[in-house]
Amino acid sequence: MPAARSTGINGRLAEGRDLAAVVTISHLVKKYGAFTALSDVSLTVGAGEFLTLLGPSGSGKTTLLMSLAGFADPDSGSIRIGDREIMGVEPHKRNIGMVFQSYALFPHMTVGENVAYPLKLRGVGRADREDRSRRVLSAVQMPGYENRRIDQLSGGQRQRVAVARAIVFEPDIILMDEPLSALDKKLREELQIELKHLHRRLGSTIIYVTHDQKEALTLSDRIAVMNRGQIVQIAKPQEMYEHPASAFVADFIGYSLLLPIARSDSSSVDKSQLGALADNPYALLVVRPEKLDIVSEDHRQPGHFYFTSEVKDVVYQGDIVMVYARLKSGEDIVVRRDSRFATLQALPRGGSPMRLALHQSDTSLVTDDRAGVAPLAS
Amino acid sequence: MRRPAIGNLWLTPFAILVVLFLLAPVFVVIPMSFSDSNYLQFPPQVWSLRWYHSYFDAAEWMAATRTSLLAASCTVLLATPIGFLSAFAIRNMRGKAAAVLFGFLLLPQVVPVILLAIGVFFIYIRLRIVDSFLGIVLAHTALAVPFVVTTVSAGLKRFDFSLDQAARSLGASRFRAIFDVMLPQIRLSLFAGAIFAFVTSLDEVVVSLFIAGGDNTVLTRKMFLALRDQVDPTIAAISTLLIVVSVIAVGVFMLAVQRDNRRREENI
Repeated sequence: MPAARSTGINGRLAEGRDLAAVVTISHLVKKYGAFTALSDVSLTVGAGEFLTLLGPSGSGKTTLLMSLAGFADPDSGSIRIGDREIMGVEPHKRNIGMVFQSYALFPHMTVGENVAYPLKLRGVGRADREDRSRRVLSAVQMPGYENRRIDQLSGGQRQRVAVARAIVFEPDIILMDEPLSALDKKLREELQIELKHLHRRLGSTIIYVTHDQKEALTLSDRIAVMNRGQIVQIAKPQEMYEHPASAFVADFIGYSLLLPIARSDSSSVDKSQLGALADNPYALLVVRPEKLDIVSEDHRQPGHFYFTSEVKDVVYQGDIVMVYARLKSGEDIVVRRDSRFATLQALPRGGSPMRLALHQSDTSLVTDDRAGVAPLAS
Repeated sequence: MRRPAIGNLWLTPFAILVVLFLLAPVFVVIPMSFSDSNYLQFPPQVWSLRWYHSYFDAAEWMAATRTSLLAASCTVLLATPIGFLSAFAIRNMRGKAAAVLFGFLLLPQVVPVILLAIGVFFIYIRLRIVDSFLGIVLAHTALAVPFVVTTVSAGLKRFDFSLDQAARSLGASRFRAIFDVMLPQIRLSLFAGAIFAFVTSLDEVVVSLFIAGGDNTVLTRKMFLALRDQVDPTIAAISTLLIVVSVIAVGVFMLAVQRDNRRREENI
């Protein structure tokens, strides 16, 4: 085997050399009978980008991923990897690495055989195969596991092997279908960081599917939120969280109270910052529990919204405390505080009034695009 | 071990009675085969192996045995792939079509075998393959396919199809993925189906009576005729040998299953 060939992924692991491909998806449509899984989806994923498709089940994120992998056959549209159109190309000719939710490791092969399988299919010689598998296994923190059987591995180890198998043949892009969803929370968070580091070292284009918004925020360069077969917003994690484009996104990413601003009690909410939108019946103010301050009655500062509420319940959760309250106008509101002694001492008791402040930079106005509500006319 | 409830205690003797009833013919046939008598006698007065000699020394018994074993082997070679591919197709079908095809494939085992035999006989006359080896194998294959479809379908139900997708995403063609990943995973079901197919063919008598005569007489047909013409204790010896073959086949399968289970349990 020529030595240069084997430097590929290992070279990338060592030097961070960028071999990643741009993915261009245009006007993708897929219908299953009366159900529209993908409704005119267009998306460009940059070279080396970690893009997460986030959405509830049935939103089309898995269909989109399967269309990329070649296991779903869109009715129309185009998918290009680099300059190559892959619509209609059989899955095994797409050169895409995929990590499955169930890992899909072959139980009758050892760890080494699993990882070397894509190389074997590509006619790589035995010595080279073993060499490359060994190096990739080290890269995913699994050195020396070549001869283990799959059923001897823990969930986290299986996940690592599945990743190793998906990157060993230097695919143009890597797809991951909820690869961490079967693991417990602690391990999941550990592996999220590992994946992030691996992505940085490989520099590959990764398209990742999850329904876990926290995972999406942790891992992604950009997040595409999907709903009912469409991408409703695509943005960097911070932008997505701080400035959701719609009520659906605000509701799906993080917890938020969506306050109908036109109907809200003018005595409790200062709307001077909102301009014309303040009177729009479909405009909603995004109120996140951690962005609220509990302030005194006489607190008045520019750039703040103020809410008057009554405390219903205070729930201690270890690292945090949740204060459940009701606004004068009737909506329930939740405030999140840390659980330090001083904070706990200062918290109001159930039944007592509570004044809340929200800085305008910590909120945004969204249109209500949720079911049964007409969209905002522009 | 959980102790059975008092109310269920009667089940044990009942089960023993059922098993005894089912096995009674075996307990009669095996001793009879070792008898020295000129006719079927139970219990035997004098023990001997003369009927085994009579079987192994008779050229026509040997010819029938060869035909039977060869036909059973060819049936396995045909029915196993056909059954596997059918089960695979059914697994990939949606909705009612799958159920309809499954039912259709089971028909040869549902239709009364005598009707099937008569039907096959008339078709074979047209095709001029009565008493031909090909005819026997085709008819036995039709009878064996339902068993293979059933066992392989059960195996495919447990098969995780994301393994198949994984293989293909890694660069394996559909065909290669089946060979490298699916077949190793469902090998026990395939093996069970193959054994069923083998035994079905070896054991089959009704259809063979119609279409498996002449030079291609199968063992069961010859036994049936021997029983009708004169009660020849040789068939007790042959029956015993057939029982041994069946027990070995099932035994080998059980061992394979057990080994597989043990390997799985070891690693949980």
